[in-house]
Formats: sequence, structure tokens, C-alpha cells
Amino acid sequence: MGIDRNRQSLITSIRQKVRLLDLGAILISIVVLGGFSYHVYGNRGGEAVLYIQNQSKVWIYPLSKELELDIPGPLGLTHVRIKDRAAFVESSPCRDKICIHMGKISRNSEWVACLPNRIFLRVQGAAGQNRPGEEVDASTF
Amino acid sequence: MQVPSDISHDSGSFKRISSAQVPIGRSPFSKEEEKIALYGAFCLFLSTIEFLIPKPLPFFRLGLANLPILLALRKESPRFILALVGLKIFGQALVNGTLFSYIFVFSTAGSLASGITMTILSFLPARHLSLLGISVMGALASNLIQILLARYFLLGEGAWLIGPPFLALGTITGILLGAIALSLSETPLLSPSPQSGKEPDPETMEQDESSETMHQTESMGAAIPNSRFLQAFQSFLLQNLSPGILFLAGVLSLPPFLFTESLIDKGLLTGFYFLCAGLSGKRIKTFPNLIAFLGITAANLITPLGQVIFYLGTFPVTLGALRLGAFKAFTLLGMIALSRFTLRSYVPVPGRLGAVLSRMFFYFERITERKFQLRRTRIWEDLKTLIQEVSQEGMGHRPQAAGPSRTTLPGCLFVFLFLTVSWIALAL
Repeated sequence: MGIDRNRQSLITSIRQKVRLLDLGAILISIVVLGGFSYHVYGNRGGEAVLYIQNQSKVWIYPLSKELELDIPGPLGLTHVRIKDRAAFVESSPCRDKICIHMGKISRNSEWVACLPNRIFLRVQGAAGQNRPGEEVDASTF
Repeated sequence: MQVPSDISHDSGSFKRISSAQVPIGRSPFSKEEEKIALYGAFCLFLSTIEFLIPKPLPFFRLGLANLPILLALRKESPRFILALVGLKIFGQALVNGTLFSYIFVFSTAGSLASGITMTILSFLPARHLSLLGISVMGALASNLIQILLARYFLLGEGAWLIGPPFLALGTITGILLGAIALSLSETPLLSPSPQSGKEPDPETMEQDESSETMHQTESMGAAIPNSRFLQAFQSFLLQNLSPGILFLAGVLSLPPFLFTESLIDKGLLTGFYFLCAGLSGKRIKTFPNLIAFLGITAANLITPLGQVIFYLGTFPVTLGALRLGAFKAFTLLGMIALSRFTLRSYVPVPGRLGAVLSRMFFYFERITERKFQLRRTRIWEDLKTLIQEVSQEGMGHRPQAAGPSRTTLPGCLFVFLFLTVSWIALAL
């Protein structure tokens, strides 16, 4: 009983000392928290990543990282490059080099494929609408 | 609540004063320095108390160590507050043995951000903004800067994901701490000392009997008993290595540890430093370190990198991200272990800073040593009484250098071997 009374008087004493700007500070904290949460969980589409697939393995790399990769296929190594937030095939052992001429990909669901060497590249998570007909199912490939 | 006498995180670091008869004289410190040292000791004491409180989450912190800073706001000058913040940062780093680690960087950035924010806000009149609001804003500043550092140094993109719960907890603890400070703010921590000009008792005081380290027999966790080898090793370290040379060994071991790019070498060095720290008597807790390792590794998996090893549901776990996460985790834990092995709390820091640091540790040791009954219903009064008594006890106590002041030849050889192991990782 004595402890409850002490606790009650303590809470009352604290309440009497709380000022308007204290509530303002708490509100600022909540607003910052809310904005941060929205940015992280809500609006954030996810960093753009590049999926690379061959016959047996899958690789994932963020488009923000400048990289040069050699992906093995049945014909040899396909050289893939990530630069300036875009990915492209720089060289490939295929005959027609269609994959090289497909150019750079940087937007969500854009893709490049080297069919003879069984290499497939796809961007996921980048901002930007898909153009009609651009969607492709990697399992079909 | 009974306060045990060995509640420091690492009480093996503290060395008892030697048994020389100490003539009482006037304290060599100014009144402000004495006050800062006392407040700083109070910060460390509360930090240790917080360590004992069970937490809902591994990294959850109430921030009790900030309470003395809050209580000093509007009573002391901004210079005093910022000096106290600095003392708290260094004190905690030396007590916890984290001076050479990212934790020190995080602690410094967070404490400075909150200290500066709270100092600036304390200029606003108390009738508009109380300690509660100041505490909330201080917590916000501290947490924001730590999230930023975690993003770029430790957790990568994963830092953004844990940001919101971290900020939410910080807001709650800021409110709680502010409320505690508000309820205590009217009764000062330190009464104006009536004996500030008084000559202390002319009788000499006999200091502690033993010059041996307290709790010298601490072993790795609770698993390894105090074997003769352990005791011999710990005795060897104390008698043949000065704090300064150990500190230097720590500093010189940092570059190879930080610059090695091999995950295996980093892991092996981390294990080596933990082994040294454990053998030297420092308490090594396996579970928190394991949680830290897994947490940092998992946070780095958020950004996929490299070959997909397996899927957790639809979430790809990639080899590159796993390696990067483990690498960062080893870096953090290795630096902590290195710090804990090579730092003693009585590192001879030069100048007034070193003197005030030593004074703070003296008060801290006195506060934690006393078997003082802190009653839950009268905890604040009991704490104040304790601090007043310690403050009186400190009057006229002359600081003494503790620990060996020179390194012997076997000690030098040990340091050479230690550094060789550290640098060999870089060479391989």
C-alpha cells in the first residue's frame, strides 16, 4: 500500500513537471520514426539487383556495385559487366553475338540472354515501369 | 538490491593500490575535476548496474549511464558536460576493453551526438522544455548516428531494416530515462561540499593490503577452472608487461588485423585474440558473442552478392554476402577481443586527462567495492549517500601509479611473439 502510494505520487510529480516542448520532442521522435519506417518498409522498392543464371547456378549482384564477371556456359565464358547501375554482356563465345547487341539493362524485368551459351540476365527491383512484352519467364528460358 | 563488490564487467582490470602508507594531503585536483571524476564514476557505476538488468533483446540498452549527464545539465557548464561525456566514453571503453573496436566508434559518435544535442537544448528555459524532452532528443540523435555508422561499417543495407525498431526502442528508453531524471532533478547528486577548504585528518591512511590484481583468477567464461598454468600466465603478464607496452602491442596489431583480406586469417586471428583475452583473466561470454556474429552476418545477407547457395523460402542466401557478413563480424569481435587483452583500465594516459581518468577509476572502484545495501524504495537516497561518502573518502587520497611501470625482457619477447602472430596473417 505504501509502495503504491509512493508510485502514485512519483507519477503525479513527473506529470506536473512535463512541459509542452517535451511532448513536441516526443512527437518529433515519432514522426522521424514513422518517416524512417515508411522509407524502409513502404516506399522502398528494393535495390536493383542483377540475376544471372546458367544451366546449374544462379548469381545475384546489386547493380550499384561495379563488377566484371565470367559466367561459365557450355560454349565457354560469357563476360558480364556491371557499370553505372546497368549490366551488359561485353563478350561471349556464341556465333552471332546477339546478347552483346541487346545492350545494357537497368530497369525492372529487363533481360538479356545468350541462348547458345545458356546464360540469362535479368534486372529485378529497379524503379521504372515494364514496357509491354518485356516480361519474360526465366523458367521458360 | 544488494550491490555485489565485483560487478564490473571486467573487474580483473582493476588493480588495488599498493600498500604504501599514504600521507594525507590536499587533493591535487581542482574542485571541478573532482566533480567530473565523481560524476564519471557514477556513469560507469550505472553502466555496470544496467549490465546486470535482464534485457528483452540482446542489444537493448536503457542508457542508465546517461543519467548523471542529464542531472548535470542546467546545473553545470557546457564545458563540464562535454568533459563528462568524454570521460564516460573513455571510461566505458577502458572498463569494457573496447577502445580498439567499432564499439568505441559507435559509442563515441552516439555519446557525442546526444551530449551536444542535450547541451544545446539545455539552453532552452526549463519552463518550456524539461529533462524528459531533452532526454528524448538526445536518444534520437544518438540512435540516428549509430544507424548511419552501422549502415556503412557493419551491417550494410540491413542497417536500414533494423533502424525503425531501434529508433522505437530508443524513444521509449529516452522517455523512461527522462522521467527518472525528472523525478530526481530537484535533489542534487552532490551537495556543495562543506569540507572543500578543510584540511583532512592528519593521520596517515593504510591502503589496501595486496598489490595483486583483484579477481586475478577470472577464467574464460565459467568453463575453465583456475589452473596453475592460467595463474602463472596471468601473473607473468602482470609482472612483466607494463600497461603502456600492452597498449602499444594492441595499437600495432590493429593494422594487420584490419587490412587482412582473408576470411580464414581474420577468423584465426579473432580466435587467437579471444584465447589471449580469456587466458589473461578477462571474462569471455560465448552466447552474446555468438549472437553478435550471427546477427551481423544475417544483416549482411539482406543485400545478395554472388552465387546463390540456397533459398530460405523465397529469400536467396548468397555466398558473397555470407562471406562479407562473416568478415565484418570477425572484424568487430576480433577488435573487441584485442582491446580486452591489451587494455588495462590504468593505461597511463598523459596529462590532466590521464589524471582525471585515474581519479574516476578510483571513485568507481570505491563505489563498486562497498557492500552497500541499495534499497529499492530509497535507492536514490542510498546512492547519494554512497557517493557523498566516497567523495569524502577521496579527499586527500593521493593518486598512486598502479601496476608495473616497466617491461622486462621476457615481456618484450612475449610482445614480439604476439605481434609476429598478428603480422604473419597479413604476410600470408
